[in-house]
Amino acid sequence: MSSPKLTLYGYWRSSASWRVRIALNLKGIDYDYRPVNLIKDGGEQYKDEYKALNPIQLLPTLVLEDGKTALTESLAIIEYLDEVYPENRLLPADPVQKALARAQALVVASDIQPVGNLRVLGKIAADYNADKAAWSKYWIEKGFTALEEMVSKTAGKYSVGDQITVADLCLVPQVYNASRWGVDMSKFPTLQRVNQTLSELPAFQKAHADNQIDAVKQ
Amino acid sequence: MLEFLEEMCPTPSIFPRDPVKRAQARAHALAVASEIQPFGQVRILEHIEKTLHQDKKEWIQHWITEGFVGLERNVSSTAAEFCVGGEISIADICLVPQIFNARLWGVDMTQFPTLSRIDATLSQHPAFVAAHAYSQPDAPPRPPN
Repeated sequence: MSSPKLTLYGYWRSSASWRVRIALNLKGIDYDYRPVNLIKDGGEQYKDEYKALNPIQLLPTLVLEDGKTALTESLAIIEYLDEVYPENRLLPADPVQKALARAQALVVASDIQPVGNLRVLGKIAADYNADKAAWSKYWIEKGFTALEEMVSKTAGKYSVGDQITVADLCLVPQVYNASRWGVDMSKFPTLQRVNQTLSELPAFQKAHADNQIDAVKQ
Repeated sequence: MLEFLEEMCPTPSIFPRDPVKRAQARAHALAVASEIQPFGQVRILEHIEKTLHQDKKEWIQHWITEGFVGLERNVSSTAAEFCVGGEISIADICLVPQIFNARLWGVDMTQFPTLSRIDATLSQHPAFVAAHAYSQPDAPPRPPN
């Protein structure tokens, strides 16, 4: 009988799910991946089965080896993984560098990504009859302008020095999103360079949206 | 910043000791800081009103209400006196300012009894009283109730 595994409920293109996939891969943690389709049947995240796991009905949810403890919010999950599986740390040891890495992660996870979420784009398009592509591009460009400035002060090989951190886990999915909405990444050279370096790593490639079992070919 | 303060000054702690409870406290905090608060930022509200010519009050009420519906359920499963058990944590620290905002925007907090109860308890705590928006030197006079 195989030992119990973590189960990740996610969506191929959900940035937050993607961040956790990278973390699990970097730490060499085996897990079951259960796709939750955000579009099919009005969105499987709204069905009772998923709502019981995560009342906030967002992705991802990580169910622990006991089969019932469910953790939500990608950054909270990543901090948990880093505490419980300390190999290949995702946070710098120095408290100030750690705070800077967390800050960069939060610029993506709080300032940029939430306003580009599927449920927000739905309201922008359906209730306001506004251009969701223009909306997405606008907020990503604003956020990346600030992030480029932050990362250019801390970057080595990666966003903060030469160790992969939670900042990098948040950056890669957001750059994918940016490209999807037509953002010109050449305006953000540090972000572009770091993203390129990270994209060549096996853990990041395995976690890439297009490589998931529920990915839709574009 | 809150994580940094905890590391520099670990007592009294604002994080549960148990890793799962700590993850739950962070999740509640992030449910506010990532899923609710961003929609109420001034630059977003101005864009909604001035660029899209939509009702910013309806916009922010929508996102606070949707966020609090889920948070009420999540917090109910972990709460005792505070959001996670009997100790104040980062979850409570994020909750109180968001409830203040919710009331400013006319969200009916009676829909969220657990969140309201915790907020009422914390409103008596000296640290929360001193940190309150209306206790700050740059605050306008507190409006009459």
